[in-house]
Amino acid sequence: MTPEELEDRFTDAFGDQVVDTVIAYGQLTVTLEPHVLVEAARMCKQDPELACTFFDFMSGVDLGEEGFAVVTHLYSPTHGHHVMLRAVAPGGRDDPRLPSLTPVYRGANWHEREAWDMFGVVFEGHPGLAPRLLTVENFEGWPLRKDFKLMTRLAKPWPGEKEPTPAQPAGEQQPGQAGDQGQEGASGGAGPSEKGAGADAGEQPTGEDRSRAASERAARAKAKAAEMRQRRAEQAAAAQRDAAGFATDPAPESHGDERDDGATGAATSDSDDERGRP
Amino acid sequence: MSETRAPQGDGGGGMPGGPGESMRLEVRDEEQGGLQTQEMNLNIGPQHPATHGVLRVVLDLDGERIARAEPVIGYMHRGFEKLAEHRDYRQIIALVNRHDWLSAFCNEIGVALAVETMMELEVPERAQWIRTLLCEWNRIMNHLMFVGSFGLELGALTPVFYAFREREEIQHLMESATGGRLHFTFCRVGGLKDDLPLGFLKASEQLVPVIRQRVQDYRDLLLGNEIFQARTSGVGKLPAEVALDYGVSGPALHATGVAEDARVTEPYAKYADVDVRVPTGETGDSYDRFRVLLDRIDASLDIVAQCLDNMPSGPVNVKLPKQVKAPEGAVYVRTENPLGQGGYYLVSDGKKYPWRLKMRTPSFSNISMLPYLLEGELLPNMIAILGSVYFVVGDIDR
Repeated sequence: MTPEELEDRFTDAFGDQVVDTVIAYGQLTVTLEPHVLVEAARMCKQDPELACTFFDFMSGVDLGEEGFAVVTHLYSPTHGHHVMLRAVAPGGRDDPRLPSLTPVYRGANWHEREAWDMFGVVFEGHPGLAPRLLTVENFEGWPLRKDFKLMTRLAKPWPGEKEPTPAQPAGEQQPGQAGDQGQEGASGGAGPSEKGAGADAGEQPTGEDRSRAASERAARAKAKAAEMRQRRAEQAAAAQRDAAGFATDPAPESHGDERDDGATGAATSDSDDERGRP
Repeated sequence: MSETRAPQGDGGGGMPGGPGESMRLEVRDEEQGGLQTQEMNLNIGPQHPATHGVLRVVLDLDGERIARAEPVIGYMHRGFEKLAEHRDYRQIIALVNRHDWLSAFCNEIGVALAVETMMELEVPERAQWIRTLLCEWNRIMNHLMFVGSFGLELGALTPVFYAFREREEIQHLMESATGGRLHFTFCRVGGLKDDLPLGFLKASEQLVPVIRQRVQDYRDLLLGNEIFQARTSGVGKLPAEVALDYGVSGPALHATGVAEDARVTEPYAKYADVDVRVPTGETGDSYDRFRVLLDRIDASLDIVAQCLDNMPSGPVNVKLPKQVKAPEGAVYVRTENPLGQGGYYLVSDGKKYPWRLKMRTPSFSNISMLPYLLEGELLPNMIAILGSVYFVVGDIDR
């Protein structure tokens, strides 16, 4: 079936429940109301004219303030056509929920677990989303959400000459960022001058961010050095106390002193180094 | 099921006559008068020679029979999908090299195709032919790896040495063109990094009959081996509809008799202009999967030969704008990777880096089917099944 014929099949079968259909690059994407999603998938699989028996993949997409969409790609090996089912999870960013497709396709099991692991979308009726599939068991947060920052970029600036992505905004701007980008994307065709201005504005905070990150790093290093110095001193004191308690031999005592000196010296030079870096 | 296994246990495990008779492996259910057993929990991996990396399978064993199997993945999760959102399209080429390290070039081409489709770029003829050629060499390299390792896992040490000898020769060839042995990073949006070096086509032409002869050797060495047959035939039978339901693709799907191959049904690069043969099996067992894998090498050699015959001259890349930006929208591009169907779902908001890049990897879907295949099997058969599903752990976890 051609994408247009498929589109008609969906609008005939689901009428108002079809929110939107898009045909781009010869591929049909049908956005449905979440409650008919399972029914639509069942139709795709069991209708002999559709016969989408091959469960290809399922994936979440961050939509910014609107929440999350989940797309499911189905393919028919007998007819050679594709269907991309899409549904926007109700519940926004706080509690996104969708019905599970596991009763229709067995392959949906792991894909839904992955979507939950990455986006926090809960699939109702799934036999068991936990434990987390790809991240570690006690992982906190949903890594593929746009408000989850890539830590390496926060901790360390891009090593190349030119940052490929815009500067990561500092803490307080974080929740708004995804929404802003979505809007910008939606009005992308407005004009190149606007885009250019946006890019410039994006470039500006990069330097500031870097220097801020560097100073934060220095402060952290300093705090760590101080902490270590204190711990060493405590250890030395404890050693001294032990030495005083168990033996009167002065050798361990002096050894303890030496170590203390050495540690302090090393720590000071460390922190000096850190101070000199920025 | 137990009836079909009983003769196999006789042929492979038991020693006929003498004291060995009593040691014969018999699998009987409780209803048939077997012993009452207690289930045991067993961890295979994450470090196990049969897992090709860090895959862990948690088994519930009832005697030697697997009652439940649950693969535990994520030990190699490197967050490629997140990283891709922070790279521009040229940098992503280097990134996708690394999720399935045995099929680097075939991955690169997927991303390049997705961006080209969105930008409506016309890739020069020669670049497309070279892509097809390198894809097939990469496919053969990948398959040789699994030909060797499958034998190794079943206890046949020899094939792996031979397979790596051939692999090395192809690797030299690829290295001469791309400079890399594993991560080629040769594909570019709109074409290729460079043209092929002088003598590449000649060397390819000489290598084709050599590999073809040696594939025949493996066929004799492994498929004709009685122990190999006993270990693999009838083991891990996968019905076609279950395979499709789980999204299983590649040799594992073809072995069930479904000849679904993106190179044929939706040809990309120059696959429309060459004759692509898709070998299929009948029963979908481990033996069939391996036979299909070997036949695929032959089919790929045929495509290589056709590429060499048709190689046109001309440019190998197009002039790109200073910033590569995919227009707003979404596209899904699927390619037939060596291990199965690979796909990239690219959502762009019109910037120079993707908004979302979903990597559909064959190994992920293939391994998600394992609980089905392992349930009810005998523990030693697990090796024959794991080895013939063909996966790369990096490709599962991404």
